Amino acid sequence: MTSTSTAAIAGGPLRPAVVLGGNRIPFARAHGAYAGASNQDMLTSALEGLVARFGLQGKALGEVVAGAVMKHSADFNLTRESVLGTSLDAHTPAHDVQTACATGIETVGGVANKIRLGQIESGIGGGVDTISDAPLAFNSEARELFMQLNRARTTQDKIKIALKLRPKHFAPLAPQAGEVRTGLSMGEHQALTTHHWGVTREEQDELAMHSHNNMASAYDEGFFNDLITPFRGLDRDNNMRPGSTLEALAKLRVAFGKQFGDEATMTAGNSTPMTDGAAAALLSSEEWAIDHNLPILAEFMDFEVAAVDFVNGKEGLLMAPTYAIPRILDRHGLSLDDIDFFEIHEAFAGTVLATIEALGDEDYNKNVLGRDTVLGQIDRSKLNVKGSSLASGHPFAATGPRIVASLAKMLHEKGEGSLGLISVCAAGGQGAVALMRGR
Amino acid sequence: MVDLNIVDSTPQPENLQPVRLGEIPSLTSSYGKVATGLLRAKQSVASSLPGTRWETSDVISRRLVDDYNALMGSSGVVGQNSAPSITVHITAFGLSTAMMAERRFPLPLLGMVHLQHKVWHMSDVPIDQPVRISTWAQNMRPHHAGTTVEIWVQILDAATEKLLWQSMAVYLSKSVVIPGAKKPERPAREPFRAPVMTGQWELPRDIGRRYGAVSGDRNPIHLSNLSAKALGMPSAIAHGMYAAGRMLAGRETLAPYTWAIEFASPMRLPSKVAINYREAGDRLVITGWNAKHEKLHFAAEIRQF
Repeated sequence: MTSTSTAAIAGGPLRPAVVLGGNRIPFARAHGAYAGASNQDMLTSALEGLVARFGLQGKALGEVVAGAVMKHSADFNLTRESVLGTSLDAHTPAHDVQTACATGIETVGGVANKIRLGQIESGIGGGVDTISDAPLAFNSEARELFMQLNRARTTQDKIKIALKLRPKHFAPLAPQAGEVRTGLSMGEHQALTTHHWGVTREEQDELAMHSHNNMASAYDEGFFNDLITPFRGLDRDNNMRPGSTLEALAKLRVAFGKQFGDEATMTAGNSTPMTDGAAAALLSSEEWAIDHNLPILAEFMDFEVAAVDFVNGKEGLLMAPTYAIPRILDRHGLSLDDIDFFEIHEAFAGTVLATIEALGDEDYNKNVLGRDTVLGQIDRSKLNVKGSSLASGHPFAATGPRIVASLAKMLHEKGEGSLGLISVCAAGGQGAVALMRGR
Repeated sequence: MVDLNIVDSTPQPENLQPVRLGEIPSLTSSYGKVATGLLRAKQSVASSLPGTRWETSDVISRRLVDDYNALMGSSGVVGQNSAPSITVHITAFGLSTAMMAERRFPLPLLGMVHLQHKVWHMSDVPIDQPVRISTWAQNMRPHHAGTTVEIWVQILDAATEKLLWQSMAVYLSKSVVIPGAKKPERPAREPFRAPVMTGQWELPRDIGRRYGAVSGDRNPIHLSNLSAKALGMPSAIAHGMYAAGRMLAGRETLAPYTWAIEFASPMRLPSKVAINYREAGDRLVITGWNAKHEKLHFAAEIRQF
């Protein structure tokens, strides 16, 4: 499939990249329904569901880009291996991306950019993660000994090195739950930010309740019917609790930020649990969609990444989107008031609320973001209206494509020209945001 | 944030009699010498320092730097051939310790409390290239709990004699008094109020043994509860310089910079140390404490120039 005009990369005009739809498997709380599934199993299933939905069997796409945050070293070609497991034409290339929880925005954004430049006509951006089958590794001392063993030439040398092995060398090293440079878990980092911005327990619980109830309503009205394919006995996200109440959430004990004593506000109810799952979104040029008689839901306009200086406590770990949001809006001459749907990933309820607080704070806008004017307020009635990660759970790399597919559908239903903003925070003090327009 | 009270002192290497060594004596031999010395007469008064300056040539080895970086989980310092501050200290520590283990040194080595440490990392210290190491003691002073002494180290480029790095460690000997000296009052200090925890170190049970293996400093108080108890400690404790290394890991940039650390209470093993990093002008101020007991372990700062 080729475009009729000259590609932008060869001197022609840039063209829109459009989202045609998406597919994911239901998300499952870790060590539960998907305990026996690997990243490749889940990603292949999410991709194959998408292929089936859009009749892409036997077709070659421009590229499939996906990734996982927690990945076995053997999965260096995870996406290509998954593609080979689907009924897509084997001539479909693939590559992996890994940038913590921003992975899923980066995969979709990368595909969109290639489409816009005319390098490819169609592609899939995806993501997957498993906590249940997380990679365990030998510790560095053991690795060093095994490497020495490998390099040793004589049997005598090999025995000498093997005798140095102790039981402690066989204790597996789990992926670090905390930030490498601070030793704090992500929850403890968010607790610093939540406290700094004075976000209350009630506000966080309320956000969590809305997330569960919004998502449950969306399921009930059939919103996810063409966005999800069942997997291993699940047809809904099993973390979701329809009928969540403030009373029930208020009973939960503090999980993060205990150092703040009475002022600690974060619980398991207003924090996202560890989750397994996979998601993918189908993008193409307008011509390709028309040629294949596929519906265009939305345009993937742009995406922007940012990073913050969190190591010495100068900025909150998960605040990078507050830097990226003004930049992407300014670039397109838009304000928060122009946006119809805000999809702010709920790593923690506190993350969403601190992001909103910061964007509306005069001092922060002026002294931290270096803006002359305050970016503004986010209308809560436009926020995560179909629920978000607190309800669905958050299989790290899968969250971006989950949001892209849902938002594309919401924008299409809202009507042509409607605008959506995605914000996803990530480990390492990073974040990615994206802009989409309804068709 | 806790205020640092680092001794305001300048190096006085002049007018000291040089003692030149071909190589650095091993720490084990110094500790051994002291342990056997313990069985002999125990000094309780100290009149004067020996007036010597010990010197040798050595290299900060690539092997040490690699092992040290692996222990700290850090990829090292900016600049390919520049040694982390603590590896310079480790290389010179054997010479300082040998000097303190020598019979004429007035304070007993074992039982000495490391109160504070300041390092002037003036230039990049090259790895695997000869440097001149010089160490001496100065300013033996009465302290409310005994007697303190400053141990200085200077690292000079072997070819150009340029001063690359220097350090001042202040040690306290509780068992010794200076005859005729007036004991100062214990200075009033504000009670410790824990800042916000912005980081946390998990110190595993074997970290004393692991730092001991890298640094060669196998002082029994760091190795195991049993060996620590034999020397009157309630349990094994982390090396102070391990804490200094942790606070510097990933934060050492191009020279020049200085850093200083003041130890308030030992970090028992295993334990969790709550950490606060705070930027204050050109200084990065670091506080480490035990969150459970609200007890200060150390206060420190790194200053870039």
